[in-house]
Amino acid sequence: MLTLSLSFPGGRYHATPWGRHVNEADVAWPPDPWRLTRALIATWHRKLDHQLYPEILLTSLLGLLADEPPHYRLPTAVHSHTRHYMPNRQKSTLIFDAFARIDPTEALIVHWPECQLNDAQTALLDELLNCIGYVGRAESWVEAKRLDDWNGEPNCFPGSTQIDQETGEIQTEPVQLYAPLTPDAYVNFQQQMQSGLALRKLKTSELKSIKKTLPISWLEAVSLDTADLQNAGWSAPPAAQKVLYQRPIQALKSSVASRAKPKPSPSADTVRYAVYGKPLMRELDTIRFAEHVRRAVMGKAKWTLGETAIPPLLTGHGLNADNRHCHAFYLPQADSNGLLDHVLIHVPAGIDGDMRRVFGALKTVKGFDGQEWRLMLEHIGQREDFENVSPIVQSASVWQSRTPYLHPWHCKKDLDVSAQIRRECRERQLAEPTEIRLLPTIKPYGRELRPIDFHRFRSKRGLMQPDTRGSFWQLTFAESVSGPLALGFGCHFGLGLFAPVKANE
Amino acid sequence: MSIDFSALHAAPRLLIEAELQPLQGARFQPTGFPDLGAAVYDGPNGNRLLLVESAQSMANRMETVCWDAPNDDWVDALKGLPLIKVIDSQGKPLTNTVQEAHRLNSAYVLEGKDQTVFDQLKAELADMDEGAVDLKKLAAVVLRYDSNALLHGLFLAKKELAGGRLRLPRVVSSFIEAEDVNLAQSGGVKNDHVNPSGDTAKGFGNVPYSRSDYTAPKITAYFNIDLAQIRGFGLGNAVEQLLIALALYKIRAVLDFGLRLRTACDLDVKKLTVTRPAGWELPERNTLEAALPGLIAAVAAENRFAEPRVTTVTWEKGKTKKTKGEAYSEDK
Repeated sequence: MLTLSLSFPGGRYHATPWGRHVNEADVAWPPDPWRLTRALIATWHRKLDHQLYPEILLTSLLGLLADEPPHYRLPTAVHSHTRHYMPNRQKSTLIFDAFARIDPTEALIVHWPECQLNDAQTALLDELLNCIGYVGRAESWVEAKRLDDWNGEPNCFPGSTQIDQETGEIQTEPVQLYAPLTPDAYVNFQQQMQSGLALRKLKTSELKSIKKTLPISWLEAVSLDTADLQNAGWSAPPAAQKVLYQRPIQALKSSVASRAKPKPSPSADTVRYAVYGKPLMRELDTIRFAEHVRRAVMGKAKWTLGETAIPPLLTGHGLNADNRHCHAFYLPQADSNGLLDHVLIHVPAGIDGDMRRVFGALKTVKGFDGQEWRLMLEHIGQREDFENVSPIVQSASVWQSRTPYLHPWHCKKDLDVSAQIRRECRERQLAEPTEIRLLPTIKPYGRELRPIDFHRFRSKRGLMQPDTRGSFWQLTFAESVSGPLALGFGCHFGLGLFAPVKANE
Repeated sequence: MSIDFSALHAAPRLLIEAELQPLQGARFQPTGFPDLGAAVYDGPNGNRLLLVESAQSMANRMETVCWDAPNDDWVDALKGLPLIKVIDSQGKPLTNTVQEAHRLNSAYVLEGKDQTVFDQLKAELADMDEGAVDLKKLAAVVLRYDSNALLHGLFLAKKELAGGRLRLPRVVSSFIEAEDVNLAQSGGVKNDHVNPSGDTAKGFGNVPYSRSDYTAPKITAYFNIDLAQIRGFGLGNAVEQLLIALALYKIRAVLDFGLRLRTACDLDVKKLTVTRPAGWELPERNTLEAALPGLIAAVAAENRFAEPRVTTVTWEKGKTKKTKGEAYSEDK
C-alpha cells in the first residue's frame, strides 16, 4: 500500500488535458498518473543529486507506480477560469486560463492499494515529494508527502460507471486519465511499432522524428518532450494508455457561488410532515406507523450520512442513561376521521445540520406489505412554531391521553400506575401532576375508544413490556406544561401521548 | 546584520503570505479588460474570489522594483549583477533584460543583426543539441549573463539553441487573490460646460461613464520561492545565498513600494506571515540591502559573472523569424 497526499498552497491546480486546446478551458482533474509520473521525473532531473539517487532507482520506482492504476480521494474543486488578452501590439489574442480552485487546507489523496516499495525506493520517493514544486502548470504549487497510514475511502478509481441498483441513479462520472504503460508493455508496444514502421514508406525526416519518440528506454519514453510528441504527429503519448476512471458526479463543479450562501440555520427541535397515500393508517395503529417512519428516517440517514454516521439522537441508541429521552419522538397525528395524515418528529436535544439534511431528504415511508406513503416536509423549526397545527406541542396544565399509556415498570405495592406516571414526570424534570384521573375511554372523533382498541406492541421482539393492556389518563399540573407529552412504554413511537384539554372542554 | 540562511538549508520551499488592504477606503480596482471584466471565479466554499494580480504580472512587478529607470541601472543594492543592455544605433539605451518580457530570450537581444550574445550562447550551450538538457550548465550560463532570469524562469525558444529545449522554471512566483469579493458599482459624468451635447467622439459633450470596483474582507499576496530548485542549479553556496537574498529583496521591495497596482488599486501590507518553514523570519528590506552587495561580490569572486557585468547589444533589425515561445509567453 502506498498513499500520497497532495495539497495546493496556492489553492489552484492548472493543467490542460492531453489533446485539448488551452482555450477549451478544460482542466485535467484529477491529475493523471502520467502527469504525476512526469512531475516526479522533472523533479529528479532538476533538483536531486543523481549520484545519491541514480536513474536505475528512479526507473524501478516509477515502474512500480505504473504497475497499478492509483485510486484517488478528491477534495472539493471548482472549475474556474480567468481570461486575458495577450499583449501583442498587432493582434490581441484572447487566452483562457482554466484551473481548479481548491481549498489549500484540503488534500488530494493518491493511493496504490497493492504497491510495495523497498527502502531505497521509499527514500527516493520521499525526497522527490519533498522537492516537488508544482504539478501541472507552474502556478499549481503543490506540497506532497507520503502517508504511512491512510484509512479513508477513495472516491475516484478505475472501473465502469456505478449505478444504484435500487434507484437506477448513476452515481459516478466517467473520466479518461492517461497513465504510463508498464515498462514491459512499453517494450512490446515499441517493438511492434518499430516493425510496423519498417514496413511503411515514410519520408526520412518523418521517420526520424517518429523514431525519436519511440526510444528503447521506458524512462526516456515517459520523459519525452510534449512538443516533440506533437511534432511527430502523436495524438496521445505513445508510452501512455488511457484508463477509464470514475469520479463523483460534480467532482469538478462548474460553479458554487450562484447558490445562495448558506445562512446560519435557526435552532430547531421539531419537524412536521404531511402524509399522503391510500389508505392512510388509522390512529389506532399509531405505533406501527411510527415504526415505519423511524425506519424510513434510519434508511435516509444511512444513505445521506453513511452507515457509521447516523446521529444517536435519531436512533435513540448509544446515549447516556441519564439522558435517554432527549432523542427523537416519532409522533403520528390523526385527522378528524382518525386517519394519520401528519407526522411530527420532536428531538428535544435539537436538530443539527446532519439531521436537517436527513429530514430534508425524506420523501417516502414504506410499510411491510409494500404500501408506500409520500411525505411532504412542512417545516423544520422550534416546537412553538407548530402550536397552531399540532395541539400536542402547545402548553397547558390539563392533559388527556390521546393514545394508551402503557406503564413502563412492573406494578408493585408502592409503584402503581399513577406512581409510575409521577416518577416519569420527575425523571423528565416536569412538575408532578396535582391530579391523576383514570379514564375508561376516550372519544377523540365521535367514536368511543378503549385502550385495547389500539395496537400496543412494538414489532421489535424481546422488549420488556410490563403492561400489555394500556390505560387512558387525565393529568392536571399546577402550572402549564409544554408538549409534546408522551410517557410510558413506546412513548417515542406515539404511545402514551397526551393532548391538552382546553378550559371549556 | 547578516541573514541566517541555515534554517533554509534543507527546506524545499519558502512560502510567504502577505495580508493586504486598500491604502485608503475599502474599494480597489481589479485587473481585467473592458470587454472581459474582472477575473472573478468561485472558491470551493462558495466564496467569490478575484484574481487581483496574476503570476506573470507579479513577476514583472518584482523585476520593476529592481530597476532604477531614470539612471538606467540596477537599484543601489543590486549594482554589480550581470545583465544585457540593448542600445540603439545612436548608442541610446533602448531596453535591457530586466525590463524585457522574455529576459535573455528577448528578440532585441537574440534577433537583431548584432549576434554577439546569440553566438556566445550558442558556443557555450552547443553540446546540448542531443540528449537531456544539462540544467546545471544552462543555469551557470544564465547566471553569467542575466542572473535575474534564474529567478523568474526562461525559455530560449530558438531552434539553434539545443532545438528550443532550453528552459528554466520559475523559482519565484507570486499572485494576489481577494476572497469573498463584492462588486462596488459607481459612475459619473464628464461634463462639458460649453456644449453638453457636443460630439463625444471628438472629445466634446457630456460623457456618462461607469466603473466597477470591488471590496473584499481578505486580500492576500502569496509568494513561493522554490529553494530546492535553487539548490538544484548546483552553483554553490554563494550563488544559492545570493539568489535567495535577491528573491527576498524583490518580495520586500514589492510589498514596500510596489503595491500600487493600478490607478485605483493601491494596497498596503496588514500582516506578513512566513508559512513555510514555519517560524522563519523574513529579513527586513534594509537588512537585505546591506547584505546584497557582499553576496554579489562573493559570487563575482568565484568568476561566475561575465566581465564586464553589463553585456551591450546594439539593436538593428535583422530578419524577423517567428519563435516558438511567442504565442504563450505572457510576461509583460
